[in-house]
Amino acid sequence: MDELLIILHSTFRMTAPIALAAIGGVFAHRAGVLNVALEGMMLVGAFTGVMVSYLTGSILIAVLAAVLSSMILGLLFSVFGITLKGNVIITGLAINTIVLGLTAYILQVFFGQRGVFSNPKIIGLEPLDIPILRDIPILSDILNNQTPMVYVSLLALILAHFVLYHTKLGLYIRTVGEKEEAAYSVGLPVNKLKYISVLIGSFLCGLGGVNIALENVTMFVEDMTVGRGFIALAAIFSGQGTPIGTFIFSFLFGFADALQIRLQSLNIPGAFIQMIPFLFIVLVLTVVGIISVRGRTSRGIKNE
Amino acid sequence: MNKKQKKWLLPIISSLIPVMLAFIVGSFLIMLSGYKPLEAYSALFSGALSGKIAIMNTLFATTPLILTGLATAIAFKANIYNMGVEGQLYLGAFTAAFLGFTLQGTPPVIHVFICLIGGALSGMLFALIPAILKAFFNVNEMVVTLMLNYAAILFTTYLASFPFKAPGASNATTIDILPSAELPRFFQGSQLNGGFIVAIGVFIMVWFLINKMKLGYEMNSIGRNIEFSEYVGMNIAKKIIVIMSISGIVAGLAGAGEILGTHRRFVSEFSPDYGWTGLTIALLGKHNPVGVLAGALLFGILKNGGSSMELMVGVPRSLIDVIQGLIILFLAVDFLIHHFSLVTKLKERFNRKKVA
Repeated sequence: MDELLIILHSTFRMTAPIALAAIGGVFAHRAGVLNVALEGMMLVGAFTGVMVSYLTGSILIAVLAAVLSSMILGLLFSVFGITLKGNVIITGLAINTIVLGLTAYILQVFFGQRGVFSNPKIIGLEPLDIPILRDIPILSDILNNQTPMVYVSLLALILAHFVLYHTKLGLYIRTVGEKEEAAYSVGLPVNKLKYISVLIGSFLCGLGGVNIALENVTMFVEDMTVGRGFIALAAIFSGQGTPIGTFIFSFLFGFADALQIRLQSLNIPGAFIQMIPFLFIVLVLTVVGIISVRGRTSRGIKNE
Repeated sequence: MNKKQKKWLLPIISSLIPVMLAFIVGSFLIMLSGYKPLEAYSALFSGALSGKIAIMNTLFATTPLILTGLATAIAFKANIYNMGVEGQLYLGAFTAAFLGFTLQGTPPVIHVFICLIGGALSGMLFALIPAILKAFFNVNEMVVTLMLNYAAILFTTYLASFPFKAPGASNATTIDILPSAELPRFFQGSQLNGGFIVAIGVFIMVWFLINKMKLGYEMNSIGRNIEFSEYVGMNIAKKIIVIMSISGIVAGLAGAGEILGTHRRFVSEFSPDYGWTGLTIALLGKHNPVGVLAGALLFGILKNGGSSMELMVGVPRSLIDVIQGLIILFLAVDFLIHHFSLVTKLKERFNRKKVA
């Protein structure tokens, strides 16, 4: 029982960055923009968070700077992918590559470090001890003493669901994604809505990135997001673009991650366990695919 | 300018513009960090191209990139987003290594061929997973291949760190392959090896496939308009499977070649993103085999010259990654054809002059 509680506690911890990026990515996904740049947006958030925390000693400024840097990237993505009508997949991959190179470059030129940057002057995110939660038996073991971003990720889930399904903005965004021509013809500012969707995503990716770099380890490692942005993308696809579904799949990834860390300490090959979430996603997508093919009446393959 | 010339010239110019823009933005970055761009770039190119050894090392760096570039181009030409070249490469590499150290007593040349074929087949089988899912269940191949990349890298890491770990090795590597399975090196002082011949051979075959065979025409047609291709009677599902298989074969060969020619054993996570660079190269080469060859050469130069740039001038070689990303970014927007229609404007002016 205790073991399970520990694993669930660290599941929420591992889920937070994935869920933040994925829930953020849901908006662009629903607006019909495939945002592959989630990975790069998280990485730039992690990098900026660490650097600004080191330079200013203020975690608040660090988080703000991380979000800002991630949103600048979101803007770049939008200018090339939406305004200039570039291929969004290629634009997203470009941004990932640029961030990977640029963070390593800046690290080496301006901080004289290669690959890893760690320093006692970097202030991290402290776990929160929440008064009421503290006294609820099982829930406190799972949810108390988490970093702020865990609570932010839960809040983001609720907000995203509310915005998408209960506000005009959400309705407009979904309209743009489902029928762009219709959105145009009723006079919706299609490009503006796409920009907003991408920027909401990059905002949350920035927070997710900060969490990866500053929650436990307080350092920056080259490519430290190791594919979490792509996992977030897979969570969106598996969850069929709904915030709740997306969160559930992010949670499953977090669980597999937590389990793998636990099993590694028991000397069970970690790489083997780490594979499971990736194969699981493929399985889920297959099942979703089989179900939707059965219900289809038109013949042939529709290009996405 | 006659029509035939234009057909050649346009893609070349529209690939050169992003490269030039990327280098220009890169030079601002170099200046910002207190170095001289001209010095850095000349160290880059002279490091890669001055002298016989330097050129051979550049060709050595180009070898895997030709194959991953072709593997990506084959799929992308049919508008199939095979992002799984990296994973297919890893499985091909491991299979080649496995066959390389287990099949004792096989005659040298035959052994190499068996390893190459084994690597190609395992790359193909791995590519079949997303292919079948895409063809029959319309599952997004991009997400599946991305996920399978991680699975393949983790799986081969597991294999090299547990069941097949070399005794006494400190990191996750297998034992060395037998000498009979090695692709020979050509000269002393350079790592350039038989893998280069394999890459050129594959290039010729892919060129022939795309330009001279029916399948190449069909790939092009599916890539341009999948619905039309289906209406005129192509069996799209079958074609997707065939195209992905070929892409997987080439990716598997890339991995096998690296093991048999360079590492001579399987080293976990040995690939410095060959698959991703191959993707850039395929885009840069406009999915055209000759373009891929030129793109691979460019990235071979950047890769080989990057280290001498760092050594001589002090500019970190991660600049190459930034330049690579910028090239992709500028490629995503086709400046020449769609947006600013530079060519049409120039042509109009040209015609007006002629009339006058």
